[in-house]
Formats: sequence, structure tokens, C-alpha cells
Amino acid sequence: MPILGTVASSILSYLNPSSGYFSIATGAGDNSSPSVNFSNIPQTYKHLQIIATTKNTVGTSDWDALIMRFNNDSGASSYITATYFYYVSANVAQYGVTNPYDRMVPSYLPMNGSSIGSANVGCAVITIMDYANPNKFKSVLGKGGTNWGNGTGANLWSGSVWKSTNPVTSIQIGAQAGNFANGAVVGLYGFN
Amino acid sequence: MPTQTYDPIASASFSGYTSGTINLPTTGYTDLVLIINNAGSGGDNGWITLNGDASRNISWAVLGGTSGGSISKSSSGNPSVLYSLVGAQYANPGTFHFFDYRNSGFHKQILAEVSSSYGVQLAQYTYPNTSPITSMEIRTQTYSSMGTGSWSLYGITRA
Repeated sequence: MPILGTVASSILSYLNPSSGYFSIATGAGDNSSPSVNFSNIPQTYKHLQIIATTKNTVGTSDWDALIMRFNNDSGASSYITATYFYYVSANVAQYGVTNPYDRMVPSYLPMNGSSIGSANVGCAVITIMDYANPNKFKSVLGKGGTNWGNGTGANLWSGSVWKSTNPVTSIQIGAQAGNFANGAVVGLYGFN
Repeated sequence: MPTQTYDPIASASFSGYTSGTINLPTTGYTDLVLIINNAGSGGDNGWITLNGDASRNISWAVLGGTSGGSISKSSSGNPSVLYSLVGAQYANPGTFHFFDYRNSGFHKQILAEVSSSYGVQLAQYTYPNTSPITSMEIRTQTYSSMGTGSWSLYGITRA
């Protein structure tokens, strides 16, 4: 007697022969643009993932928000972001909900004045679920963090919603202040 | 043309207190994901050393939560090692993402999620070295046995 999971897996494999994890495109900060932009994103994957190193050009030893939008939507109430975050100056983990907003905040990034040098960067992994589905709002999970000096760091888990049923066809990700700096590199991946 | 990636590179079971030196690929990948699945028991901290390097002051921040509250700490007082997070003992499984580990221009970033006695924890480490990471070692802090467990290493490349 066949095991249902095995049969279902075989069917899915047949319907979607490209199952796996694929590198789609890469963008990089150049000190002159606020964001990296991915357009014409293939609609053939189930989910997207972003793996990034991050930094802005602001010459301060501190952190700031990594921000993201879909389809160039900067509507004032297009997004909700909930975060569980920590930064050293507050020395306590905190919860926060931003609703509504014109951007998502999936992670933090370091500014360019780090006391540990200009080679400092931050990091983030962001997952965009069911991005091509035309019938539901889009959900995003983010995690990441940064240090901007010895013993001074910030990190967060985040969940965001884009209140649109439109498929995600483009992504804008970058700095909230200043520009996306040299050393910020964003990889876009698709998986099934 | 999209490139299929997230490839298994190596895996092994633990024996004794250390994985031994794990030499990393010098071509082909930009990121690494290390999954530690250790079913041993004990009260020792897990460490990961990079490049056999004892001279760097690794800075880290950790965020976690439990039913009784939250934990959030930051420290730079642990040179040369990645703790397997505050309160995490080597019995706890975890994943460690090494960003752009072969980059020769910027400090190396590591993002970890570990199940621990403080609940699930997220930690970000800065390894302040612009040289590529070429090797790592998983070990316990006080040379006690790892117990039964294993590690797996995966490689990711960018288009």
C-alpha cells in the first residue's frame, strides 16, 4: 500500500521538476544608490529568499533599518512589520509593531562610522512566502543583525505583511538613511 | 539562468570533544550553512573557532526568549570563538550561516539560531577579519565529550 506522503511527493516532483534552491540574481551597494532593485522576478518558484550583507553610507557608529518594498509600492499604509529586537543601548529585548507603514523593516544594518572600522558590515536572511500567489497578502520573515563596535550590536526577528494580493514581481531593498554602501551584497534565491 | 545551489559539502559524527579541523572550500561558494545536531548531554559550552585564530575579538549580540521572559546580551569579551549562544550547551542543535566567507574586503558575519535553555536564540557575530575563512573547528569549551551528535555543512553560491 503506497504511503500518501510518498505518492504526494512523487506527484509534486512530476509537476515541478525544478524543485530545489536556485540563485536568481545578485545586486550590490555602490555608495550612490539607496537600494538594490530586482525586477522581472521569475514567477516559477514557490518562495523567495534573500541573503545579504548590509551597510549604509551614514558616517556614524550606530545602527539603522534595512528596508524593503515590493513592486515599487510606497503607499503610506501598504505594509505591517512586527519585530522582536534587541540593541545594546537599550540592553533589553523588545517587541514592536509598525502598522501601517510605507516600508518593511526585515533587519538592521550598520552605519559606516563603525568603531571597528570601515570593513564592518551586517547580515540578513529574508524569506518571502508564496510570492507569486495572486489571492493573498504576502508574508515575509526576516532575521539579521549587526555590530558597530566591540560589544555594541543589534539584532532582530521580524514578520512583515505586504497588504496586496499582487504577485511580487520586483523587490527594492536597501538603506533607510544614506545610500547602500560598498560591501552590501544582496543575493536573491528561489526555492520550491 | 538560475543556478541550483545549497549543496551538501561535508558531514560527520562527533567523537570526543572536537570535530577536528574542517577545511572549507576555497572556490565555488559564497555562503556556508553549518548545522549542528548534537544529542549528547552535559553542561559545557559549544565553541566554534575560525581559521585556528586566537587573536580576534569576536563581537556578538544574542536575542532570545522563554516563557519566563527574554534574554538579550552583547559582548566582545570572548576572543576567537563563536559561543553556541548564551546558555546554550552542546546538547542543543543549531544552525550557523557564514556570509560571504571568502570575501577579502570586509569583516565576516555569522548569524545563528540555536535551541537552548533560554529558548530559541538568534545571535549575530562579527569576526573582524578581512581575510577569507578557510577552516573551522567545533569543540567544547572545557574539553568534555561532545556525546552523540553530528554536524553537516552546506554551500550556497550567488548568481
